[in-house]
Amino acid sequence: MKPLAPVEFPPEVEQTWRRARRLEWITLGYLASAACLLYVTMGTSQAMRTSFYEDVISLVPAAAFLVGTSIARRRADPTWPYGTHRATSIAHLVAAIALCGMGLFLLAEAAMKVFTGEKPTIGGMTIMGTVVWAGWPMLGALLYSSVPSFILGRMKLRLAPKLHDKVLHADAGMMRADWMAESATAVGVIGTGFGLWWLDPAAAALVSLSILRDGLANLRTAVTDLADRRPRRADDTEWEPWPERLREMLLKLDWVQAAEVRMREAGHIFLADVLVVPRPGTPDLVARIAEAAESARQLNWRVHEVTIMPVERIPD
Amino acid sequence: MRVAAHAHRMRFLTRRMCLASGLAALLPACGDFPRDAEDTLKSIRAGRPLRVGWSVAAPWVRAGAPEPGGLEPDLVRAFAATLGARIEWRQASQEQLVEAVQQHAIDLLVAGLEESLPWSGRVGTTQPYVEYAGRKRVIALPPSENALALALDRFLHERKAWIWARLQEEVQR
Repeated sequence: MKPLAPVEFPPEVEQTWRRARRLEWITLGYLASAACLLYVTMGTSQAMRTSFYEDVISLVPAAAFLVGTSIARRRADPTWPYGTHRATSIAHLVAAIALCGMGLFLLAEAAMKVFTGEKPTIGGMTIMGTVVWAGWPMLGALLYSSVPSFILGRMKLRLAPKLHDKVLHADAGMMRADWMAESATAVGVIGTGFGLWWLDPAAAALVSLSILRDGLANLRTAVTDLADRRPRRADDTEWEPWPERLREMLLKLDWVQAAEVRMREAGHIFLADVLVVPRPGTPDLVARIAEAAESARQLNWRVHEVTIMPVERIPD
Repeated sequence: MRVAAHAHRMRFLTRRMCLASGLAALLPACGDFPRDAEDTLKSIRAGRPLRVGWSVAAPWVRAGAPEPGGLEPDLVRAFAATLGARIEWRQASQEQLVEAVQQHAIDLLVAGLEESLPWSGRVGTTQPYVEYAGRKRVIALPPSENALALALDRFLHERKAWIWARLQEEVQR
C-alpha cells in the first residue's frame, strides 16, 4: 500500500509548533507545581480542595497536546497509510471531555454546597510562628495559580490560529477555565471573610456554566471532525475555504468541464477526493490530472493529498 | 483586526480597573476583617454569654459538676476570660452537639474532637491545637464564624507550651 507523503510544516508553522510545545511543557510543569502548593495549603477548605482537583483536570489538555501532536507527525507507513494525523483529533476529543468534566465538576461542587448547607469557615493558619487569617495564604496560592494560567492562555490563543491546532485552542479554553475558576474561589474566600458565605457557591456556579459551554462547543467540534465533517477553522468561527478554492482552481483549467470536491480534515491536514469531467478528446489526460493534483497541493500546505478521478459525468 | 484588538485591550483594562477599585473599596474595612456570618464574636464581646457544649472524652474533657474539667474546658475558660465573657455549659452527646453547633445553638463544642471529622464542612473548626499520639485535636464552632475561629486560633497558638504541659498532667492521671 502506498502511504501518504510525509507532511512538512512550512518553516513559520514549524517554528510556531516548537513554541507551542515549549509552552505546553511549561504549562505542565507549572500546573503540577500549583497543584502541589494548593495541596499543601488546602487544609480542610472545600474550596481549596476543589481548586486542587481543577489543577489536576487542567493538566489533561496540555498532556493531550504533547502526546497527540508528537504522534500526529509520525511518517505514514504501509500499516498507517493515511498517517497518524487523526491523533490530533483524538487529542482534541480528550481535551474537550476534560473541559466538560471541569465544568460539570464545578457545577456539581457548587450544587452540593447549596444542598448540604455547607458553609466555608476560614479561621487562622500558623505561618512561621504567627497566626494569620488563613484566607491570605489561600489568596496567595490562588494568585500564584491563576496569573500564569491567564498569561499562558493568552499566549496559546495567539499561537493556535497560526498552527490551526484545535487541541491548542481547547487548551487555551482550559487555561481560561482555570483562572476563572480560581478567581471565583478567590471571590468566595474574600466573601467568606466578610461573612457572606453564599458568595462561594454562587461565583463557582456562574463560572462553571461558562466553562461547560466552552467544553460542549469543543466536544461538538471534536466529534464532528472525527465523523468527517467538512473542514472548519480551528477557532470554530467559519468553514475552511479550501474545498471551494480547490474547485474554482480546477474549473479554471481549460480541459475541465465540471468538478466536484469532497474534503475532510485529518488533524492539521486536509485530504480531498475530486471528481472531474474532462472535455471530450482531451489529450494526455493522465499527465494533466497529475499536474492538477500537484497544483492543488500548492494551494495551501494543509491541502496535503488530492485524489483526482476522471468521470464522464458528475453522478447525482 | 486592529480595531478588535483595541476593543479587547480596552475591555481588559476596564476589567482591571474594576478589580483595582473593588480592592480599594475593601481596604478601609480591614479593621473588622475577617467577619462572622452571624456576628458571634461581636455579640460575645458585647456581653452575651459564651455557650459551650461538652461531652466527656478523657483526657480532653472530664465529667464534673457543675462544670466539666480537663484540658479543653480549662482552655475555654481562659478564652472566655480574654473576651470578658461568662460561660453557659451544656452537656449532651457528641451527635446532638454537632447538630447544635451547626445551627448556632452553641458557640463552641469541646469533646476531644479529631481534625479529620466526617462532618467537617457542616461546622467550623479551629486549626489543630495539639498533636498527641499521631492524632490532631480541634475545637468546633458554628460554620462561617471566621472572626471567632481566628480569635480562638490565635489564643490557642499563644498557649502552645501551656497546653503541652497540661496535657502531660492529664495523661498521667
